[in-house]
Amino acid sequence: MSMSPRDDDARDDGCIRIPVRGAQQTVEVYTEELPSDYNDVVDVLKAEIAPLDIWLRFAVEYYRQGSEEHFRGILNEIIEALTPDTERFYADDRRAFDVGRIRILNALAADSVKQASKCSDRSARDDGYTTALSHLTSADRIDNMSELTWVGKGVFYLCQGELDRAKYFFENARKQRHNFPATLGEAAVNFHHGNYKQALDLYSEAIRVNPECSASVRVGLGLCCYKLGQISRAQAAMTRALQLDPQNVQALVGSAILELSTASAGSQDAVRRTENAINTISMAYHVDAKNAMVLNHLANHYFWTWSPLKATLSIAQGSRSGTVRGDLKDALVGGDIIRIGSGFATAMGDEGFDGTTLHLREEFTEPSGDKLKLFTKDYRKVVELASTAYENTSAPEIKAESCYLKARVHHATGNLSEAKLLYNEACHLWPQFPLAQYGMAQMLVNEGSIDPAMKALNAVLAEVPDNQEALVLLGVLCAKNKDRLPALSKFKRALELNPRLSDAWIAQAQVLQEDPADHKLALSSYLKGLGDGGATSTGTTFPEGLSDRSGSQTRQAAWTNIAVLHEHIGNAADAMTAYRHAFSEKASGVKRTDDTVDSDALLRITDPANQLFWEWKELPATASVVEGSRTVQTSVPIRGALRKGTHVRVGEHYVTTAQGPEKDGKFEVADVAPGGVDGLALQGPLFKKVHKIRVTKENVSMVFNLALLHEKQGHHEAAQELHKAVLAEHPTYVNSYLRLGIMARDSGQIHEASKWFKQALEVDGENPNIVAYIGNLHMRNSEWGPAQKKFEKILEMPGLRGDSYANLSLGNIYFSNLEDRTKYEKHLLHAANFYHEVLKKDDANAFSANGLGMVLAEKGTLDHAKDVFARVREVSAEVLGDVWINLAHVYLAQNKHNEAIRLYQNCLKKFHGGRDPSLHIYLAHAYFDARQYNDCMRVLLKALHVSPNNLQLWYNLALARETFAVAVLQKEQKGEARTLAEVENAIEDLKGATKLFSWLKDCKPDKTGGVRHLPYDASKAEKHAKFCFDNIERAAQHLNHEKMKADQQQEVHERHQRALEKMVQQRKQEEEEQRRRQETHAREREERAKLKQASLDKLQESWTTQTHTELSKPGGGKGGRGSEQSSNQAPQYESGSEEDADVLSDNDDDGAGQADRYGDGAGTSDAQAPLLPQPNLKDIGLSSSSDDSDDAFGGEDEGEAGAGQKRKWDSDEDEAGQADQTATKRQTIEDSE
Amino acid sequence: MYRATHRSENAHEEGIWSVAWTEADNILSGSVDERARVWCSELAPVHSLNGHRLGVLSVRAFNHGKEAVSSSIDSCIRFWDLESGEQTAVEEPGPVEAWTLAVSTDDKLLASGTQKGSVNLWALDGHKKVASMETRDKFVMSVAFSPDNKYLASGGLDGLVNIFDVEQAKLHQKLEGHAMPIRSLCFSADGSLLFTASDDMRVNVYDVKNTSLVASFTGHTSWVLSVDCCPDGRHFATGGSDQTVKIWDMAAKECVHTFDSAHNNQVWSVAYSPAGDKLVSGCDDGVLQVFEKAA
Repeated sequence: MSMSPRDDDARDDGCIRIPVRGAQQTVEVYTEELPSDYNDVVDVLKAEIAPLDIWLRFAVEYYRQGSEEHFRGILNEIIEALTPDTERFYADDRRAFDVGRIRILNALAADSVKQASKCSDRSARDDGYTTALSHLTSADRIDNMSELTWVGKGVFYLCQGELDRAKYFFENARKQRHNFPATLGEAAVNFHHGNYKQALDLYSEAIRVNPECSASVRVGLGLCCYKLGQISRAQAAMTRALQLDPQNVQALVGSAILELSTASAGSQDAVRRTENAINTISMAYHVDAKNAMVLNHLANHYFWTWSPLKATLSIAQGSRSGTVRGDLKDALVGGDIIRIGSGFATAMGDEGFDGTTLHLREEFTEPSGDKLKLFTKDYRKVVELASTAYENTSAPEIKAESCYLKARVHHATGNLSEAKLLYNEACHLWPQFPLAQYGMAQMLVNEGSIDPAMKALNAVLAEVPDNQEALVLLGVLCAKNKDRLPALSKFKRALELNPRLSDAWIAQAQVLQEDPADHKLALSSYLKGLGDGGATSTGTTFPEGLSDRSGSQTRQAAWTNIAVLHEHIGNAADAMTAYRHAFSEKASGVKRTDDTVDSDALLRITDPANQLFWEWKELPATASVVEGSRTVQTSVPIRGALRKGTHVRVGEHYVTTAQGPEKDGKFEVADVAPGGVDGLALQGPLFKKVHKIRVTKENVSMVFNLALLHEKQGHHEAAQELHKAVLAEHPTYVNSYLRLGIMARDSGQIHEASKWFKQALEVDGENPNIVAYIGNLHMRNSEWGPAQKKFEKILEMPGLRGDSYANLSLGNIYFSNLEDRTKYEKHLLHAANFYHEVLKKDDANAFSANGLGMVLAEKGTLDHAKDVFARVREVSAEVLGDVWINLAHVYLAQNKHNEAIRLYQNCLKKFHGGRDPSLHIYLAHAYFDARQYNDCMRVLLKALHVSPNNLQLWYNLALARETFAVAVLQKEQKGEARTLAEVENAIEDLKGATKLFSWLKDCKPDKTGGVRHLPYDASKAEKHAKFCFDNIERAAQHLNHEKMKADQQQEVHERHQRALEKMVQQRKQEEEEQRRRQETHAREREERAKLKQASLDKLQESWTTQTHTELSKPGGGKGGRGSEQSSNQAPQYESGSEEDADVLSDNDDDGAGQADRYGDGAGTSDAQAPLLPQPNLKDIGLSSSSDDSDDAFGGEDEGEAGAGQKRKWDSDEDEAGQADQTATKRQTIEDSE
Repeated sequence: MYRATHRSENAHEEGIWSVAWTEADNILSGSVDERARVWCSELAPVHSLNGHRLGVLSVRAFNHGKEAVSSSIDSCIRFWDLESGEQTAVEEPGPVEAWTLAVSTDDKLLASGTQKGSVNLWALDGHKKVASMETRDKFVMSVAFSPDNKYLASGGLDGLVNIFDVEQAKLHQKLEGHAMPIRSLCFSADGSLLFTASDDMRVNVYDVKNTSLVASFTGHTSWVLSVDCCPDGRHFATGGSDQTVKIWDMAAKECVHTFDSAHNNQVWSVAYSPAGDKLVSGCDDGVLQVFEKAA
């Protein structure tokens, strides 16, 4: 500090001059020599009553030199010092004083704002803004039109994010004239608003007005250009900024970002540009090692960069460790990410590195290699840089970026809890930071917090509405929440933005496939996800983050789902092709096995339909076998290649199984060789079947689905061996046990079925499905007690009190046990209660509605029952065949035969492939009631052809024959026409019925089926036998009568014939005569041309009369009944055989009498004398009157249980099958996620 | 490969239950419409064999090709002269004492299963019943003679297979594997293998000598109703409730062809021509279809 003459012009020569009060001298203070204690300066300024701008200059100078405290100290001193007392010292230049004060207050306000915006602590920040506001208010009080204060206020609001208010002040500040800071402020506001064009214009204006402005204005301009896509202009701006200030960190970073953004991926250019960029950022780092933005950019760079290690690795495919050559020393620790060669990345195993061997976390899937280059990622450096950045900034956005970078590192190395904490912090620091929100969403998804994750993703989309990853992930989450439509709209949007998002196509397909109506859309969506036309995708279309391996698994799961969809649509062949694709995906665990493995392992999968899993391997020998021989000769010994059970092939076609190892050039096979060509020995190369694909934990659900397809196509062998292979690998795969059980059951192997179900139960004793299958099996065998126990057990399971299937089954069990009259009421009530129980929970359950209908019918309220059945049929006719039958039963009971017949026939066609014995019985019954005996018998014959051991069918057939015969014999009495052939057949029928009844009366019940009694009363059979036999005698008379009738008819016929012939002859004669007469007449005319017309008439008249007389002659001989009777030929018969007819009708009366007792009556009243299969009627409630009907056909109990319910089981099982499939589908979907 | 050639849409008014191909190159068919019919190999009608009262279960030709025998549900066995189409004899062994038929390859014996589970044997010379061979089964659905007539195999309702020694009229061995009705069975041309078609949707193949199950073929999606072995010793054909006819390769042990559009209903019966180059199938909708081996 020194004294010097006052010189206002010398301001910028590195010293500040304080005018000495009352003198022309000044005190000079060199800015380089500012006192370390600012109070020294304050003392001088106070003493000299220095102008306010001098105070400000000192303060600013201190600030410039980094002493913000001094800046504040000096300014606060003068503000506090200004009291009404002291102000008078400045009264001489009031205006300068006011301007000075405003500037000081604004400087203090700006400082407070800056401090506040750096604060991470909320209350400190608020304090800062409060202080700033009080300074600005003070400034306003002095002059509320000050541009400076306007700008200060703009900045104040800008920093608090109140862009609109900020904009208001900036605009006002520069309304009158150009205001440089206000222009920049407004540019910043526009930039923040995303109005880059306006911002760019404002920056341009600022530069035009003030070309000497600082580099940072040009950085702002550059950023606007960048945002507007004017990359080269942006680059020019950054370059200019760096020319002005080579150390402007923002310009350096901006320029680096531009360099990176213009680098097209993968090119040489990219490498160069990336290097340039990192050099630029490094320079920025050198300039300001604490610039957080720079640090973050560097951290980001290292996050992505693979840095080569000074070592190589030799490793075999499929191995998890390799030999290191070179120096690794402490470069790596367990868990570090490494890349081997160009494509395979994994983490280092926790075993670490012992100097020579490097352990990996996963198997090496690339081809074996020697001295492969090793790379790693320097995540520690990333964390270090980001942490330093975090410490050196107060800007929450930049802190958030630092947190985000650290979170990425933890995310990538699998430390998800730490990653989540950091993502969370980043989100809090800067809620509008989409990347952090997305990372947070990923973490939340990972821990299953779906709703918070969706919130995070919505936050991402609020900032960047078209972010594809967020759209897809949100779609997936919506799908998880069963929000189908929102999910689909997200996928749709993402795919509009980028049709190459294969994972979005696949996720969309997974949602679509849930609705059968969208199966075709789902299919095409899958195929798009997998590449055009279903070609195997190369994996390049998968978004980053999906490694090649998980991509392969996704594709595998997708192919499996495609297969299932094809299957549902009915394209079995396409389904099979899809499975082929699925299995050919190079997923881990599905690979070729080498010989050492397969020679020992049992080949479980051998069926031709499973050729995906095995292949023929040629053995180093040829083989020959003589036709009809079971011994195969080999050209050379093939020691150890075969053993018992090995599938072998000789030449092109002969496939058989070795019975043991080859010995002395020979081995035995299971079946004889088929004929060779022309009896020559079969000869050719020898093959054996070896594994191609093994069932593993990874592909097990695929294998299961394929097995289901096989089952559907009838390839049961293929399906069964796949299920068994699944279970060998996965003994807890319950669904495979169940399918094996179901297949065994459906091929009649009840014991085997029970065995499989029990095994399933051992694996999962609490699985209600298994218990239900076992109960169902008991029901099929009419083992009601054990069945009941099983279903009761299900109801006791937690949460299954109201299980529909179990309740329904129990209802059916009670309904099937109404035999015992003492428990009838009770059982019927129980059945009704169980059906009600189901409807309580599921009022659309057609099965239980059907059950209730049966109860109603059983109680005799047929109209109600009919209503119920009719409604059930409307709703579920496609799945529930029973309801057709039940409805038909009701129609039958109401004597609406045609309706009943039509329903039974439809049902047979629709549900039973035309061959359900009990349905045949019902249909026969309906025909019987309708007196269509021929149809009735034909139906019974078809049923017997299918089930010849069904005694009830035989009994009904006998009864139908008897009744038909009686009906034919009674025709006469009823005045109906009948033929000789009919009577002959009737006698045949009576004979047949006699034999059948005689046989039936001695038949024993077939006890093996759990049947205790015959389906009919043996004593009734005996009575029928006698009745039929007796009637054969009487029928013989009918036959004679009929024959006689036939003879008489023959006679009449002959007589007619003769008469006809005679008449024809006479006519001929007459014609001849007339012709002659006419000739005569003509001659007479010629001779006597004047013959009178009258005489001609007379002649003609005489001719007509003559004809009439001639014609009546033949009938005339038979009494006086006149010619009118001759037209119907009946009278002769009637008159001629009156006596015989009387005798016959007596017989008929006898016959009818007996027939009434035994069965004919049944034709007229089914309720009283049910000739028809009583059981069916019992089904629907007519049986209450059946006690007194002695001729009941015996209840076909199994049929009864079956009619109402068996189908139900079938349908339910189908549903269970479907459930299996959907379960697996779900599984594969989960796998793919 | 085989292809569908001749076809008769309304060969019968109702379902055809049985077909056979005679040495004289005639096709025989029997139907629930109570008739048997004789056709030439191009399916031109030759004779209608009338007389059965109830449906015709089974129709078999004698090996000399001039006669045939048929059975119906009322257990009537009728003998026919194929040249004249006349019935030559009728036998009525009593209710359910005859079901489907088999004629021995030397035309000396006729066999049929019964309701009691036994197999009846008749001498064709004089139509005398010569034996009733017992099984413990419920109902014998199908019978077949081995080519050398040494053995007779029967298939039961319970899925059991019995092989009888014909000369001694005694049970020779039992074969297990099915648990549902066996509606058809046949021996391979050389007699070494027995093929059984069952409602369990399988065709089992047994080695007759070793009494072992050699193979079990699946592929039908419903009951297998009929099986016939091709005289070439390599193939066999099946017909099923799933409305298909399938051709199988015994040596390669797989299905080589499926005809799934020839029929619209259950295929009750298939039969090869004596030369093995043709196959006929009879269906529940009354259609007869001939398949021929393509050159």
